[in-house]
Amino acid sequence: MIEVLRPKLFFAGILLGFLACCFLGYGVSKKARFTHYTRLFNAISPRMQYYPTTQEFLNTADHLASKEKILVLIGGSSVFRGSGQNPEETWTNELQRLLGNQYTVLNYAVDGGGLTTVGAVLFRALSERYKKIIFVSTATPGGSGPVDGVEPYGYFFWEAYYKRLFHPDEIELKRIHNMQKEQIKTASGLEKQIANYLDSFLYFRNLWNWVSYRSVFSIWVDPPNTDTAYRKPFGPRRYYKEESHPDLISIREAVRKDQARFDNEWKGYGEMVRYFVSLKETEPKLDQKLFSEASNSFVEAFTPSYRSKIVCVVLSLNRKHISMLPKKMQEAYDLILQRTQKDLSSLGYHAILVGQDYSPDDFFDGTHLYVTGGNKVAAAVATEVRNIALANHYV
Amino acid sequence: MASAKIRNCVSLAVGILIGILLHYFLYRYSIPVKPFIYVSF
Repeated sequence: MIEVLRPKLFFAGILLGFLACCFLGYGVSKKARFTHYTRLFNAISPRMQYYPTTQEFLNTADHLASKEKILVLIGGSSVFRGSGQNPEETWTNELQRLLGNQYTVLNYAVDGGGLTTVGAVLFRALSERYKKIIFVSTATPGGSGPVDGVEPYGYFFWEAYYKRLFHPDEIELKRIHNMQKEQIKTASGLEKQIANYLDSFLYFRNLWNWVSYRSVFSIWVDPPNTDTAYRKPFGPRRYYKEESHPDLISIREAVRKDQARFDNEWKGYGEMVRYFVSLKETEPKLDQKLFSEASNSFVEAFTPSYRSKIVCVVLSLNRKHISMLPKKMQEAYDLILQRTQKDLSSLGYHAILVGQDYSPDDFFDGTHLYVTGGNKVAAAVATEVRNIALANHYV
Repeated sequence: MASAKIRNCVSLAVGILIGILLHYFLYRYSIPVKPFIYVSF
């Protein structure tokens, strides 16, 4: 076979095929988007080996939002993704209903995410396109995590950075360069930096994600039983539709009856309290060093110019779980929540503390919210969003 | 003459195919090998 090939044409072919893919990737990066988007569900998330590109989200936003309306971008964790709620009854649907037609609510929260993950990157990028924009995210007592988000979503920040989808100011740029220097010291960090740098001009992720979404998914992934009726491992992801659980309450009840899970959850929360608070004295005492570290991560998460447009929601865990802890630890837990809210507010974020008065029925498990809980959060967030819209002269 | 043309076409086609595959391998390289396991609803 090798002797049959003409070297010059063969190598010209390699170059031609490779460059054609790069140009195609660049082309699709401008238009690839999700159809019928409500939230990030399994088939278009890393849980099923689909790593969405920043541009897929940005193009989806451009398709769904308009510059005349106020864009309310939701980021954060699975709690805000609406895990524990069916797709048609998510808390963001309720938020949209409460805010009305003047607003467009987009749910870009991800499983296992945090304040700086995915949604935050998109907020930075979309702030440059949409003047009327508000970012709403969960915020946890431990701090915001790294500026480039938690894994496996770190690629998302770097993809946006290398493709210049947002333009950091000098202070942020310095932090980003420091992060780069730190990351290239480890093999996985170096790999992440190289892959995203190469993708910024070779557009391989854009092209093959587009193929995966529209034509064929090239990695064997068995879809979860619960999520979708369409179950072809190589099937294009656009055919996957997130289906509702017809009897979500039964699933919730099954979760509640799982004593081992319940015990694991509340004991885990106890560990978290012990981590932050010294319980040796009569009154619980916060570990100031840990809190100043957490506070510092909130400083680095966003520069002050962004913070006035960000709602950080500090959500209490299920009180049924918390009530299993000794009285002193319950007090300590509330102290942690209050301190987190206070720290965020003092930095210029709009921080709200919710969930302390929610009933166990408002939760799906220890952390995630059921529809009723979601509606309560939506009401609290809607009030805060309206205030920000007024303060920033959006309305 | 005809065989020379076929050789040219095959060389170019195989080259193009490898070029496409190289691009695809970069995509696979950028995806974590370890699956992301997250227990949620």
